[in-house]
Parts: sequence; structure tokens; C-alpha cells
Amino acid sequence: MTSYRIEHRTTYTYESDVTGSYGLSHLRPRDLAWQSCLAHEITIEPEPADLFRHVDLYGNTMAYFHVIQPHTRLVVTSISMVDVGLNELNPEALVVPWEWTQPRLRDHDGEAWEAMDFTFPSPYVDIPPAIEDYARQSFPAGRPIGEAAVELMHRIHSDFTYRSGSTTLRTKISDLLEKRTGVCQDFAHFMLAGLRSLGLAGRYVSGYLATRPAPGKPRQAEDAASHAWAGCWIPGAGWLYLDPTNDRVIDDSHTTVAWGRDYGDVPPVKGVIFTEAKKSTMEVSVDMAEV
Amino acid sequence: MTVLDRYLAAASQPATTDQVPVFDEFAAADGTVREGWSSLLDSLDEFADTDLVQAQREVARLLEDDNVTYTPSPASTLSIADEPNGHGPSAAGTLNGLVEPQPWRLDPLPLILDDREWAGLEAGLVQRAELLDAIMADLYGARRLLSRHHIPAAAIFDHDEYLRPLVGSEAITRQRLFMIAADLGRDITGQWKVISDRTQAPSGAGYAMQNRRVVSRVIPEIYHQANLHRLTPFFQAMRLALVDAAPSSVEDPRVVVLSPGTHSETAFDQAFVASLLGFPLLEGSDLTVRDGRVWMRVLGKLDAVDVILRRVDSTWMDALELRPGSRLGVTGLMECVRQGTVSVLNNLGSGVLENPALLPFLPELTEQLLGQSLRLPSVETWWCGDEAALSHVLNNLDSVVIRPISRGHGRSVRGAALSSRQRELLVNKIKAAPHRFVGQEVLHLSSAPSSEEDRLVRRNVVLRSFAVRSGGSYIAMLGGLARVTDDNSKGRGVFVTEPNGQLAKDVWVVGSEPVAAPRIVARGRSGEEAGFVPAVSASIAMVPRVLSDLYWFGRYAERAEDLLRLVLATRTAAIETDLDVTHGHALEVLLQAVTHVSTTYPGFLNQGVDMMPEFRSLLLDRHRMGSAAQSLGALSMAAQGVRDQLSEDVWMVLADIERALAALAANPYDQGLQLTDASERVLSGLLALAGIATENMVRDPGWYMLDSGRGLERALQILALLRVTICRERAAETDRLVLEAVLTAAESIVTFRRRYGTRPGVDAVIELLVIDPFNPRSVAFQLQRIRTDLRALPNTSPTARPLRLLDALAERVRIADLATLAESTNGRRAPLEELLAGLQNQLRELSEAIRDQYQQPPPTQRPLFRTDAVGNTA
Repeated sequence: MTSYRIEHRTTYTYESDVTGSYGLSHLRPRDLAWQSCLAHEITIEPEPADLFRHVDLYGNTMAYFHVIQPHTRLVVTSISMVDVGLNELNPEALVVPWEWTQPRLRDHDGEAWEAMDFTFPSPYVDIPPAIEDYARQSFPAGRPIGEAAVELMHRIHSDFTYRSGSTTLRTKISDLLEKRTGVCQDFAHFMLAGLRSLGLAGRYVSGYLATRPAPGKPRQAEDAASHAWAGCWIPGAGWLYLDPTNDRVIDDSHTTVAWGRDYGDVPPVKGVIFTEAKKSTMEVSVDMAEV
Repeated sequence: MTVLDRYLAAASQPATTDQVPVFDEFAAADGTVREGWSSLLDSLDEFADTDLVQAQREVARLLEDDNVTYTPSPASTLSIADEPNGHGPSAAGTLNGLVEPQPWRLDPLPLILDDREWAGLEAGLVQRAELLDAIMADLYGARRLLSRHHIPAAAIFDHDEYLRPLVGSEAITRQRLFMIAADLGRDITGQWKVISDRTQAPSGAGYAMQNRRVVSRVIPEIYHQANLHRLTPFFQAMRLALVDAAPSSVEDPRVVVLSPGTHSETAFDQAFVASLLGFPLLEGSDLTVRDGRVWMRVLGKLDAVDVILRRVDSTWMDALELRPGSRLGVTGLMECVRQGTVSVLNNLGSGVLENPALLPFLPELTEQLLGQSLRLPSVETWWCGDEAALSHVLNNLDSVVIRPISRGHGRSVRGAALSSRQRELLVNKIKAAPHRFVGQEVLHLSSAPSSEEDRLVRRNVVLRSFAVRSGGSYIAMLGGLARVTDDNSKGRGVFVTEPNGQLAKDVWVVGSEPVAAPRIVARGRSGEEAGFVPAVSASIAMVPRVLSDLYWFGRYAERAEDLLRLVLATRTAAIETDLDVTHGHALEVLLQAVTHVSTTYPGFLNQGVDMMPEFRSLLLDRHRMGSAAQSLGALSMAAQGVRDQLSEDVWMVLADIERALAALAANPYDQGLQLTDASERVLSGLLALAGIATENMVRDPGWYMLDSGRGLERALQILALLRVTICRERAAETDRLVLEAVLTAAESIVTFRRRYGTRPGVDAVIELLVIDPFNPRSVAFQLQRIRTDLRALPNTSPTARPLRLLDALAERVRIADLATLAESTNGRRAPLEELLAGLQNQLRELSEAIRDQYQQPPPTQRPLFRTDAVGNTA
């Protein structure tokens, strides 16, 4: 079990007044079998007129806010205290042939219908025909689901180059397949497309990754970051969470915040502003300290 | 043999071997006339024989008078078997932007149904509404239908209209489905079957009422003779249901109708329903979210909104949580819905019920949810997500219609009508995602007698019927909107629901006995709503967009009127001077004044421009800035935007104006006679509009805005005219002619003669047209008028900028010295010119101040800066 204090600050600046700002955030870490959120606080500057919290269909906590005070700078700060352990899956569930884990073939399974929600294309995860060819190489007939999914993750990790700024929110799966560069979010989306192309359920997870400083070096604030990875549904056991960016099954350095079909369901902060300002900038900082 | 006899004989002839023997609405198989029609047979016979052609003309004229239109949507023309990117054959012709509204087309002959037969249909429709409501409540609530496999999860989870942010929200599961529509057709046995359900934001109830109004005027004798069920109770029920749907804590709920705007497909229907119900018709920008609830932006304040009857599709309703960038909805609305502070009807997310994949499961769902058996069958439907159904569809592609489960994925196609290329494309699409498609039986539909010139022909008919929430259940409209195919060549089956080429029919549900006056059970807080009286005070929408449209309505009406007067006065002068356009003479001055005042440069400033063709262009050329046609077009657009605020007479007048211009346009060889005639007709139309505004419009903020627009435009027009006519001194005879034309154009010649005799004097003209506060055509009068208008508006403090500007204007006019102004030096009246120009500038400033004060649109909406990636480390 590892404990963290996570401070996630997003700062927007505008060249002229914003007269209204509506926002929606997914910033509270989830309570899970292997994770508890001990404390969580969101502060927004300027102070919003409204701040409401809800739990969405997937169990994520989201916050709605509305700032009505004219401003040229908006800061959304989330501070969370969280304990993270290891998500241990029943090893027997991981060795069933992957074909058996397709939700659409499991009418007898009381949980399969909900997993169905993660088997279709979604706004940021299209499924071009070529993705199936790519994914299938790791899924020969009868291969255990755990082994196959982990290999898919390995291949993505080795086939792709991490490069900030090489992709945008409009990047399609087929572009990724061609360019083979991206960031964690792209790798997660790509992996989901691969799983879904085979009829498997794949969910997008938004969270934080703690990076440990090299021995003898001080910890740097920018060592931490908001991060994203993918989950693959394992009937009877839950979800196997795989981090293709770092080529490993998630562990106690991964703090889970929210999950959905893709990034679009759970962006840390999104919003609509009313302004005549043409230019704006955004700055994100995440400080994740072991406590 | 009468027209009806011939129809009867043709319809009851045995079908030839290659024809399917369809059910006819009028003629039974044994050659007799069906129930419902039979009691009206003699009158119908006589009507069809003698009045058919005349009635069609009359219907077209009445529809034109009311400006009843339908705008085909370009999106609905691409089918699921066409290649994307607009290369499909049917996408042609819609590429250059907006589609023009098309006239609504209606058959004078209604579709008549016997009320005993109707009773079965009605019960089926009510049951269907209850069923769909129960399905909706489950899909957004407990989701037992999914977890227990009564509905396949794939058909819901991969549907575009399943709105996940609302799932599990308590407020949404409490909200009942408000209204449904069903498109029905008969099979060859005469059984009605549902072809598709409309639950998103059903359109057509307004058209149905409009059809009834027109038909009842065109065939009044038959209308009164029929024991006809009325449509009014349906709209009463609609009104009650809207009020009842308000969040429970609200005493006197404010209901609004939300439209996607005047360019939407069914803009007429939306505006007409809003005015029938007496609720304001708004657009997204008129509303805003604050404190977790929805408000209407009215003059200087916000008014709470409790119920929104939406005609905007769900996914466009909130740019924050649904489609980013949408301006058709209200940002933050979803949050208000979750909080239960506003009721949106139909419920957001109701489009998922239009999913044809539900159809095969409805019989079992009726058993499950209502404990009943399904009364009204759907057309036979195979959901391709089921393997057996998939192979059935692929093996019988020629005999089915293929529909996507999400409407946005393209128009349905009939397998038999596909080219081999389309077929291949479609089969591949189906195989790639079978659960996204259904196959449906091709319904042969019944035929109904439809007017075509002097004959009655057999046309396939589809009936849209409606049910609305009432008390604990639903009630159906006793009637509906029928549509028939335009030509009978091969138009069987679904193609009748194609967007173009349809003829509507009124639907008469008739009894054998006179129909008792309708009763509506009112309950709860709506008990006092006994009659069908629109709530007057609630219907006044003082939102900036409406005020802006009314202001411009006033300005364009005045601008068109003033130009016509000037053209007519100039033409008179032209005849008096025998078309003497010698340089410096009166006619040249006046012609150039026409160009300057209307800003239709270069116009008469070019040498040797013929008068008649130029006048013609000023009247008819819609695309020429400053022309009368352009002003009238803009006037009509402004009127469309505030349709619910205007008397229906306005449309009749506008239609007359259109006809006058059309008559002129149709005669290219006109030597001036018709031009004068058309101008006079248009002018009298514009005077009628002014009369309607004065006599028939409630003095609400909208009226004051309209009136101030009119006053401001008139003042601007007078100043522009004087500036280019009387600021120079010319030969006495020229000046006399010019002044007379100016006074005629400014509608002050009679007053002038009475007051000043025939002495032409520039000082007298300035006095009468600028300074005299009692001449309703003077600048000073307009300033007073605008002041009175603005002071009657809320949100106007005595120090508001428009009033301060008015003070300055009035002062400048008051201190003007006539003698100085009339004086000329070297042939020029410089002080006058300076005064007129100064007043013009100040008036333009005033117009801007009025816009800022009363018509300010909300600031531009943008997405919050979005990062392209969440991670910044590997």
C-alpha cells in the first residue's frame, strides 16, 4: 500500500475577459478494492457561483461548476489523499481462452451486459478494419486472455514512439496505425480499439502515474503526470488494467481517477466559456508526493 | 359517370396479376364505399365533379397567405447505401448551402376514417405511448430490460441517442414521456401497422391543425355536414401536459418552445404550435443557465423557465456535455435536468426510442411492462444483431427495407432499388456491424383518392398520428397528418416517407352521430385552465433576439415603403417633364436621389441609364442591396423569426405583396404601367402592415421596439432624401418640381399646400419635414415617437444612453434656425447640409445604442481550452 498526496492544477489564461465559464471535471480518485480516496478537495478561482457533484453511470465522481465573475484567469485545483495497493486478479480467470470473454457471447453471465457498453466504437475510438489485423496477431485461437492482452500491450509499447504534440484529439486510430507515435492517451485508445475489434470489452482509465526519482536524485514535481491506460474485461474477475505507455500491468504507482468508453467520457476538466477573447493558454501541473 | 364513380370503378377492379391488390381507403373490394365516406357521398360527389380544380387553387392560395412552408433538410437525402463524403447521387443539388423553404402542399380532399375503426387505432396508439414511456424510464433508470436481456444491450449501447450522462438521474426517471408520433401504413388486408416511431421531438401536429383550418374553409359545406371529431382537444391536452410537467415546486410555471431557428425543416410547424399553445417560441441564445436552472434573457433581467418543449434534437441541447460547439441548445442544461429544476420535453435522450431494433421486441415488452398484448403491430422487422434475422435479411434483400438503428446514419433504402455497387457497399456495412441495421417488410400501403387537376387518382398514404400525456396516461389526436406520394408510377412502400414530393391530406375521423363537445379532464393546478385561451402575459417574449427581429421588421417595412413612394413620385415627375433628363434638370436630380437614398450605387449616377429597367431592378432584384425586394425579403425573414408574436394577417399581407411583385416579374415587356400598379399594390400592402401594427398588436415591449425601428428608419430616410435634393439651389422651375416630388415622397404634399399654398420654399419644406413636431412624417415627430417608445420599455432609466442621444438630437433640431438653413451661398446650403448630415450620424449612433441596450446577443461561446494530450511523461 502506498499513500499519495496529489495536487493537480489546471490554469487557463485568456487575452480578455471571460464573462461566464461552465465546467465539468473528473478529478476525484475512485474508491476501489485496491484504492481508497481518503480526502479530496476542488478549488476553483474565481470562486464559482455553482459547484455541484454527481456520481455518473460508471461510478465516477464528477463536478459541475459555473463561474460568473468576469475573469482572465481560471484555476482549477484538485488536492487528493489516496492509498493505492495492487489490483490482484484471480489467476484462473486470466487463463480462459480469449474468445470466451467476448461479452456478446455470454448471455448467461449477469455482468456481461454492462461490459457490452465497452465493445463498440466510441467518439475517440473508431475501429478501422486494419486495427483488427494488428490486434489479431496477439490473439490466436484459444490463447489465454491474460497472456494475449499483455502481449498486445507489449507490441504497442515496442511499435510506438512516445512523442508529445504528435497527435491531437482528432487523431483517428488509422492515423496512429500509420504514424506509430503518440502519447499515453493515444496508446490507451489504440489498445481499446484493438480489444474492441475482437469483440472484447475495453475501457479507458484516466488517472495519475507516480514516477520514482532515480536513486540519490531529489523528487521533481514534473515527475508526476496525469496519465491514461486501458482495461480489459475478464469475466468473473473484473478488469485487467494495462499501461501500454509503460509496458506494465498497473501497480501501486497508478492512481485511478475515472473510467469510461474513451477520453471523452472522463476528461479531467472540460468546459464552455463565453468571451470575445480569441487567444487562451492552458497549463497543467501535477504534483504527486508519497506520504 | 362522375369523378368519384370513375375512381370507385377503378379502385374496385380486380388487380392484374403483376399488381399487389392494395387496400383502398374509399372503395371496398365489393365496389361499395367504405364507412365514414358513405354518409358524405352525395356532397363529395358533387364537389369532386364541379369544384375540384377550383378547390386546389384555393388551398394553394390560403397556404400561401399563411406562408406555410417546409424546408427539406439536405442531411436527410443521403442514404445508408451511398458512399460518404457527399458523392452519393442523391446528395447532388444540396451542396450550395441553405435550402429554400418549399410551399406546403395540401389536397383539398381529406382522408376520411370511421370513428369505430379509429377507436382501435387510438387504443393502440395510447398503449404504444405507455409502452415507450415505460421503456424510456427503464433505459435511463434501473436498466432491467438490458440486464435481463429483454432488449439486446448492443441495440442500445451502440445507439447515437442513448445519453449516458443522464442514466441513473432521478429527475429524468420521474419525467414521463410527453408526446409520441407514429407513422402508420396499412398492409393489403387493411391492418394498420407502425412503420416508425417518432419520439425525439415529434413534428407535424401544427401542420395537421393548419391543414384542418384550410380544408374547412375550402369545403365548408362538407366540413359542417360531417360528424367530425375536432383537433382542439389535443392541443388543450398538450397545454395541460406541458404545465403539469413543471418541476413540482413551481406554482405558475413558465413554458417555452425551443426551436432550432427559422431555417429548420419544420420551422412553420414549431411556430404554429407555439402560437396555438400560447407559449413563446425561443432559440438557444435566448436562454441561459445560472444557479443550476434555466433562465430567459429578457430586458435587463432573467426570467426563470420551468418547462422547455424542445424541437431541437437531444444531442444538440448542451454544448458542455453533449455535442461540443452546438449553439442550438443551452449550455449547462444537462445539469439543470439532473437537478430537476427544469423539465425538458420530450425528455433528453428520448431519441433512443426511435430505434427500429426495438420493434421485434415490442410484443414481449408489452407483456413484461404493461401486462397486456400489443394492440398495434409494427411492420415486420428483423434486427440484424440476431444471427437468424441477419441471414434472413441478407437472403431476402430485395424484399426488405434496410434501416439503420440510428437515424443519423443515413436514410433507409429498399433492397430492390439498389444498384449493384450500392448493394455491395451496404452488405459489407451490415456484415461489419450487423447490430446497427434492421430489415423491414415492404408495406404496400393503402391507396386513397387524391386530387390531380380534374381527376381523382390513387395514391399511397402514410398517416402520422400523435399521442400526448394526459393525466396518468395518454390521449391521441383525433385526426392526424396524412401524406400521399406525388406520382403513382412505382411509389410503393417506404418511399412515401421521402422528404420531397409529398402532398399532405387532412385526416377526418367521423362518427355516425354528431360528435359531443370535447371534454378534457383537468387536474391539480391546471384546474382553472378550462378554455383554450393562450396565456397572454406569459406569451410575451422580450428576449433580445425577438426584440431585434421586431425592430428590423419596423425598419425594413419603412425602408421599403419610403423607396416605393420615392419611385412613384419620381415617375410622376418623369411624366410631367416628358422624360427630360437634361443635366441639372429636375428628373435627373430625382433619379439620382433614388440611387443615393436607396444606396443602390451606381444606379442613376451612371450616364444614360434607362429609367424603367432600373426601377424594375429596384423593385424586383432581391440580391441587390438597398432594393425594395431586398428590404421585403429581410422583412419577411425578420417576421419568420417572431412568427408567434405576429398576427396571422401579417402573412396574408406579405403573400399579397409577393403576388404583386411576381405579376410584375412575369411581364418583362412592361412599359411602366404594371410597374406603377405593382408599386401601388406593394405600397398598400405595407400600409396594411402598418395598420395591423397600430390596430391589432398588443402594446408590449415588442411593439415598442417595432415602432421605434419604424420611426428611426423614417427619420433616416427623410434626412437622406433632403440631403440630396434641397441642399443646392437650382433654377426656380427645377426646384419647384424637385420640392413637389420630395413632398410627395414624404407624404406631406397635402399638408404643405394647405399650410403654405403653392409657394414653393425650401424653408417651408425644412419646417414641415424636419422641425414640425406635429407632422407624423417629420424628423422631430420621429424623435418624440422613439422617445415615447423607449420610455415604455423596461430597463430604460432616464439616463440610459439611447435617451441621452435622443435629447441631443431633439435639442439640435429645436435650435435650428430656419432662415440660416434656407440661405444659399454660391448655390449651396452648407449649414443645412451640415445639420442633415449631423442628424443622420446621430441617428445611426442612436440605432447602435438601442441595439446595445435592448438587443445585445450573448457573448460568443467557445470550448474551454482543450489540451491535445493528458500525459506529459512517458
